Amino acid sequence: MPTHDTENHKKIKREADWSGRLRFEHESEKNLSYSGISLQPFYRAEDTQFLPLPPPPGAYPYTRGIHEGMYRDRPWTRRQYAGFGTGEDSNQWFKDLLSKGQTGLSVALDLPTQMGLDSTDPLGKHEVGRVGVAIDSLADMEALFEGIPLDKVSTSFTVNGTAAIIMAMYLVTAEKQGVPPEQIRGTVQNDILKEFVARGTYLFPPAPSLRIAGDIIEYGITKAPKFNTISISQAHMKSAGATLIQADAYMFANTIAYIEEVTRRGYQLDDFGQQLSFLQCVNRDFFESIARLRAARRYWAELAHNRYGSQHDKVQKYRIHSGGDTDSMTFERPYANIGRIALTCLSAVLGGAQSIQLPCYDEAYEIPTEEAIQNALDVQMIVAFESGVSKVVDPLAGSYYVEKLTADVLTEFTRIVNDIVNTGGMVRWIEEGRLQHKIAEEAYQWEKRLKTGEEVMVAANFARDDKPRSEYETMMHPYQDKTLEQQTARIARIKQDRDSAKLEQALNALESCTHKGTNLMEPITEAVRSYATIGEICHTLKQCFGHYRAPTGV
Amino acid sequence: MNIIELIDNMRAGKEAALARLISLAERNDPQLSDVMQKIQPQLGHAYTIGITGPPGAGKSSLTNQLTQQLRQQDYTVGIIAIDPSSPFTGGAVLGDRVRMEDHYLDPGVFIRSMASRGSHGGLARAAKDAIKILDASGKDFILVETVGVGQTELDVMQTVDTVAVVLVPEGGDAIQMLKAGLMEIADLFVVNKADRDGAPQIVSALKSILHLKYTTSGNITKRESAGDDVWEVPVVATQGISGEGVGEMLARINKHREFIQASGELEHRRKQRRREDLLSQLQYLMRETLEQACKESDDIHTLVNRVVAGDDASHAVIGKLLPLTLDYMQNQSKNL
Amino acid sequence: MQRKIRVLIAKPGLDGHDKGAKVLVNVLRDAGMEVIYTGLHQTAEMVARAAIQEDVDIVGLSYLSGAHIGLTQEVINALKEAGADHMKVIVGGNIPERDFSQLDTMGVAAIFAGGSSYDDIIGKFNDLVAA
Repeated sequence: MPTHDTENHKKIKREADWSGRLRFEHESEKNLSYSGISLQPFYRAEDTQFLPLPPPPGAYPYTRGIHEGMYRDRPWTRRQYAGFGTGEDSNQWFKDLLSKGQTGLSVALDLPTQMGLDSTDPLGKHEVGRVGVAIDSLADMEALFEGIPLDKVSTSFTVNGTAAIIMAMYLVTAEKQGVPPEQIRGTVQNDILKEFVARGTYLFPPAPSLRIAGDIIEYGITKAPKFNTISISQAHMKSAGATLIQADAYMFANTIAYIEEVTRRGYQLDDFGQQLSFLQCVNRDFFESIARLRAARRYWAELAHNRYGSQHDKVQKYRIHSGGDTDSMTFERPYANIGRIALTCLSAVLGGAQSIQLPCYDEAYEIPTEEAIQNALDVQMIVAFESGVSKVVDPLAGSYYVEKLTADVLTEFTRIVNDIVNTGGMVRWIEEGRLQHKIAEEAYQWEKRLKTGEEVMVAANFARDDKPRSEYETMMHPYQDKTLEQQTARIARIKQDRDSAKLEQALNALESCTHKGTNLMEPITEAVRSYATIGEICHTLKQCFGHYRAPTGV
Repeated sequence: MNIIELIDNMRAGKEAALARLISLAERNDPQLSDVMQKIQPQLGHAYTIGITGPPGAGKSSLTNQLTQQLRQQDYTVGIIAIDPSSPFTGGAVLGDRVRMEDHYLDPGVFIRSMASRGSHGGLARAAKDAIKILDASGKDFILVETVGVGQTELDVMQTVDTVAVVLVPEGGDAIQMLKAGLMEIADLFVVNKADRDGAPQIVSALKSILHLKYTTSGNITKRESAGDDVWEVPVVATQGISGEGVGEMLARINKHREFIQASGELEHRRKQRRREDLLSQLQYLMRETLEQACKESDDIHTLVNRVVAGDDASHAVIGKLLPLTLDYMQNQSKNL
Repeated sequence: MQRKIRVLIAKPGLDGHDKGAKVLVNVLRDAGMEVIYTGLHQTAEMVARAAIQEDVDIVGLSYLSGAHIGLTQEVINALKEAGADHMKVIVGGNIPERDFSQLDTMGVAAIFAGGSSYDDIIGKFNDLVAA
């Protein structure tokens, strides 16, 4: 072994084009986890003896899992993110995916839809149907789910700034299929606060944005109790540059802001806690990933119980939607990404996730191809049904290392969240650009470590070859210029067909609720029913809430 | 393009020409003196407002809102946003524009970011020239935004007609600002983010400090105590994001303008400023030449080094050094 | 005084992923350049106007959504229209190689696809301004 390592090391040193130093040549890096937790060379019983050993799976605070039987009873939900072009284009694809073993749908929306612009808006001219499906009005949503039984399928929408409109469209589409909203299962991301620091699909200033997020959660309590009205997301803040643990903590600080937006309206967390879900990615550091999911379950359970007086075990159970992030995929040698995907999947499973969505090997380049999506699903099924890891719940419990790391991660969560809460909370941090600055700074530091070779990404800064990029470029989803034409035609059609008096009435009602401060979901649903376009609805809202530009943090 | 064309184009409203002229000022281009002489007759139209305060006080948002108000009254606006350069690399991130996005496409607003580019008064000179160039371009108002920390920024603020010092309720800022000397240059105080805890307290604290200043004899540090009239520095509460209070801020600025116009102080200050400008430019140039002399003239170098090494007292060498340096300067000035 | 390189980094279009743009802003600052970052969601006209007012040497456009062809053409047109075609336009981000020639034809001075080294970018910027 040692000889081989040395040889390999030398070889790599010659090949690597940046500096090619092996990671462990840096003493400091060897002794730190990915997110900066101090590590020991090995762990002993003494390292865990003062830690409270977690109770069995299914018992508060659920460090070891929210269900007693976990995957023995029910495998995790396997999803892949999909959607492009028009409603019809994606509809066909969805039907395909459902027939190939996918158990839930995850809808990608194009950028104009996420930004509240109609496909005809010149601002989004080059983006229609590009990174997801274009939805301008109820007509598109109807086309998207034509022939897909919405009482059987659960659908997740990655949508934030326009979450209220998309959710209303989905519920009305189901209603037209004869499925009442109480039966609908699905998710809107609705995590608007993180959009100000990553991804950028916010429409209004932080305060009214938070109000709308609260409106969706409040509406769901009675109207759509099986719907996850928010999916609070760590992953995007990680992608923007935060370490995994920082991103986890920021997610919890956002969670506190959402909860308090609803509880100040007179609700208890237990009224809506079951409808919150969490998107927490795993990545890179295998054991840290597992420890983070375990620690997060406990952090949430204690937060719900101690800070918000939750009495309901279903609320205290932290349900994790997990996966990897595209940023850990390399452009170079994309098939190497399959190895990363498999490790990601395994760490999410060992961490006890409820649902998993993996990046695809070509995702550094494109919206993934169908082939790559199938590959990611295959990886999930291999881990689920071939590897045998599902047979025993929380198999790493009791490992000195994993237990100690779980405890250390928990301490970090508490420290960072308290720091934010005690200095004005998340909205203030965003308005002042503090969070943006922290994340941008962390991203820069990471790039510096990649450049010096302190951190390794195989094929990118380590054991790199000089093949031209084109060798690696995978088959892409061809962008279809015709999507814009088709959407433009459909908008023209609905504008002609709809009842303009009813529309005007609906938009006026929406405007008045906006000013009054009452819940916006009902008036938005009415506007959707009368085939108002997403652009028309957002324009109405913007007139009251105004335009906002968040500090960039650089 | 020659400078006459550039100036003509600028006067005709071509932004590229205006921008290029400011670049000449920024680079201290050899053609700059020609430019400044040619635009001299066109100066004096614009009213200049300085907005300074600690980082994170919301100066850019306030500048944005003020611009909005001025535009509603159909005034044209030039904005100079100054950010510090990194002392280590000389590079800078100029990030204030982002907050002024509402005006990106407004032909009546011109926004220029400048980096402080080290010390030695380089920025102060460049910024003063940029203000003049904007003035010559016909802008009605010029807003100059700086982070109020260094001497350079203070120098810039000395050249505007009205200085607004922006503070936020968060602890410590007010005291830091007083220490940094901003108290003395303020024509009005703005407490921004006034919806926050502690805002009323800082407003009243400021008011009482100011009151003390006016009632304590001999402690009136305001520059425009022209005649018997004293400008009592007002304190305005604002919210930069929503724009609340910005109308009052502008009203106070206009009041100050009327005050210094009526009292003759504006004219007096502008004259003072031209004199200051001239002398400081001269001083800057002499200092640069001196540095050069230390490097290039062996005789001067030797004498200076004796003082540096501690062998001679500075007093002892000055007698020899002065004629040498004057000679050197005279020779240099022939090349100018 | 040494001539400072002034750069505008812009995010045209609706894509909101700006980690790469922000990292580049920091990298260029540390290389001694003066960098103006426009923030997200810029139209071509906004980018051109900022570039002109700031009189930058280089306009860097960052894309991840795949809309780089159409948007870059718009920015180049807007710069031309405003008489600023002397400014060098650089494109970076998620740019597939098959699009390189089309961007070249438009007059893009350099393309830095994902995974490019920052040293190369800095070197190229210096060369472009020196040229």
